[in-house]
Amino acid sequence: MVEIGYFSLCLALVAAGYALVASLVGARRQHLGLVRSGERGMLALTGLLTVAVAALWHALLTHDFEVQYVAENSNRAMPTLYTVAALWGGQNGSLLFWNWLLCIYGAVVILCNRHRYRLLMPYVVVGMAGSGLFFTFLNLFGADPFTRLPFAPADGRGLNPLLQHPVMAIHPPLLYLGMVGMAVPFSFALAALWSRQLDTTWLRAARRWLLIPWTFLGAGLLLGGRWAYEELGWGGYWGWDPVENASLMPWLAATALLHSAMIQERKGMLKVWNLALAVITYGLCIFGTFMTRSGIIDSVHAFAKSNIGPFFSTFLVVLLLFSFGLLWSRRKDLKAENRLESFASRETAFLLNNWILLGMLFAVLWGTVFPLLSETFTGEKITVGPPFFNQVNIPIGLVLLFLTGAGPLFAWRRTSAASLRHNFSVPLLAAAGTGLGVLILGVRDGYALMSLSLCGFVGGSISMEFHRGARARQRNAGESYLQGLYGLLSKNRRRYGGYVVHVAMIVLFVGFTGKAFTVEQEFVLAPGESISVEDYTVRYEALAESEDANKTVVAAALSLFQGDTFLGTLLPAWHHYRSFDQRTTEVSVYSSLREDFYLILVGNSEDDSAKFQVYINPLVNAVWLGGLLFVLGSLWTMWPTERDRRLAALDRRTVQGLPVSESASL
Amino acid sequence: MKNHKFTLGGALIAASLIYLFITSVEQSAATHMTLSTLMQTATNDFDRQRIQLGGCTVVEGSIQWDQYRHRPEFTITDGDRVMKVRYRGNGVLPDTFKDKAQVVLEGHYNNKKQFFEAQVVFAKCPSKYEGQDYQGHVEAMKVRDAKETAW
Repeated sequence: MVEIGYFSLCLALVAAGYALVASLVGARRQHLGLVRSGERGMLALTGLLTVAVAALWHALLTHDFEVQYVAENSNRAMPTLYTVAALWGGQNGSLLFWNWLLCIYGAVVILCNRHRYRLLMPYVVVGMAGSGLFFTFLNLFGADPFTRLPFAPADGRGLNPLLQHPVMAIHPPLLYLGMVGMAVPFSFALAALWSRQLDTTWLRAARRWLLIPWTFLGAGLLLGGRWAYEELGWGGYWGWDPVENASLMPWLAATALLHSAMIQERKGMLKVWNLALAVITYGLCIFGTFMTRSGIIDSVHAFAKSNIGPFFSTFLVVLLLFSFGLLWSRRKDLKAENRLESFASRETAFLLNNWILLGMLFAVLWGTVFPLLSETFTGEKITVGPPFFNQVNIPIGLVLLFLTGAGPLFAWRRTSAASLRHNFSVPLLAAAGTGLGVLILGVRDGYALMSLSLCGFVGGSISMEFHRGARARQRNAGESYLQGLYGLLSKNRRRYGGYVVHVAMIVLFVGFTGKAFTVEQEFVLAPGESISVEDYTVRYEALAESEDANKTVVAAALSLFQGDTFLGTLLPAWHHYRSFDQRTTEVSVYSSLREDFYLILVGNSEDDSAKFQVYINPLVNAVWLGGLLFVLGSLWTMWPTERDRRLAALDRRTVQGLPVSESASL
Repeated sequence: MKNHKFTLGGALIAASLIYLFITSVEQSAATHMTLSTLMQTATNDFDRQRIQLGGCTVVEGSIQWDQYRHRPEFTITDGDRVMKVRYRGNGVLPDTFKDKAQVVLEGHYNNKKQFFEAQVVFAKCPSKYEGQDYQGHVEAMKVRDAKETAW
């Protein structure tokens, strides 16, 4: 099976090269047959990679330990779920997986657009096949997952227990789907530049292909946070580690593009900016992969140094030089059709939103590569930690939150002073009310007060939008208020689905704000003793030790009370996995909507007394809730509407950009 | 509407961002050092400087835990030199902290008493991408196979 996999990989290299050349020549010569052939080459590439992936999965599931990758990343004792997940558990397999997902995106884009965007599509295939060619090359010459060992070990090394968590089986694929998917909007931008189809067509075509990876990436980021929170035992979910930053940066760039695309569609402005953002977003995905796998940045997650760094940096440089060169050569055709007319306009708000998002992106990038920069320029390697990122990003984030609420209150082109007063009154009242409310509840932290007031402001602004829309439908269509609300959501998915995502952002910010109120305490208890932390009381009942084939478990049992009410039993523990000589801390959390009581068993003494550490994390569940709402909101936004289906049907009948005789033969 | 107003606005935003960057870097910066540079350049007023110490591993058998396995003292080495470390932070040490683990420490160096006072200890995460460390595995497999045959 492994030979079949390797052989498919070799054929895939040929297919990728063919798809690239055929599409390019076909597009230049307007040769329909070649264009179609290039598309089929891309489909063949996808098929061949599917065979390669299937071969590696087969090797994993049949425990073919003669294959180095299988021996390193799995063993017989692992549950099947993790054996399946071992496909992306190691470097070489994950790069094959990445490549496979990339080509699946490519194939789906081709199948969806067989009759649409005919002038763009050949170049889109060039973009996707180009990336596919790079990754296949990498798989063959830098990161071969099919390398054989000179002997077959009896068992493999397996997956580290810390990574044996269900979230770890879905978190990497989600992130990959997000990172890889950014190749599609990039390819559309490349196609627009190359084919000189520089109107908004590429944006229209790429919009959904931007939303899909954007949603995956966002969900992946939050799931990673969830894993860290449950598994790592430091009471937090985000540590500004280079690995985390690597996936946050493209998400921020994509968020900026989602917003600035709207200005181009409406006003014909920011054309260069949008094309550049599409390139930067994909570039950041490649850069992130390069950064975390080349060993140039010391990270907590310290990906092992490997030889694939030069491959990635070369690819990145070629990608950026070529794209920006093309952009430069087309600059005369990219003049804005309109100018900003007034500060008090929605355009300005969007523009500001873009600057702020890019400012945040730059801050994250700056902090991440600061050690490298300072070493290059001063000879001294200076590192910055989470305090830097928090200090910079909290104010930027608050401005962004304000803009989320303020944007919709401005009219396009210009807003009169009277309508500004009218529009801002309700949200400002909501902000003042929220601020006053939390002040009375005892919130004194400056940033927290600002953040929560701004959440009120955005909430007020969005509610007003929904209210006005629903009232308008009530008047015009004679619907009830609730029908009106539903009508808004279903008829104008893009706008109102977008607002749902904004609501998710409010909920997320509420969750982030909770960090300001975290209480941390450590204490030692003997069995039977209790201690009060805030308004909780914990009583340490007993310590128990057990063993099974894999591990030793030491668990403490504690009863948790709030006042006199018994809330539950907490069982913080630590496990010791013998084969890895690896200890894992298992936290125990009592969760309520208001806050988490997060308990860690630090260690125990021979007399059964034990040391505990507790984090009380207010509002942390808003983060997970906001994440869920984020996914639902974006799904709602991207779901095809009746209008999309009609347009697609229309496109099928009138194939764009081709002579009638040729389009008839399709 | 003149365009230079927007240029001015953009410049203002950029300026405030840069100001924010600079002030924040000053407050959280740590100088990254290897063990040998630290030992060569250390002076008595070093204890005010926040240092990130990289590229070391924990000496096998050197970890001395306190009663509740919270704040250990241990020795690190770069293969050449060694240094004593006391952990003084609040958080629970990462699970990956153990003998021979690669660590990155953040804290202060006490030149008089010749030990490193660590506030933060990063230990190399069991990254999914540790395929390069293969030789150890082959050795382990051989030992294990030998044991199994012996039985």
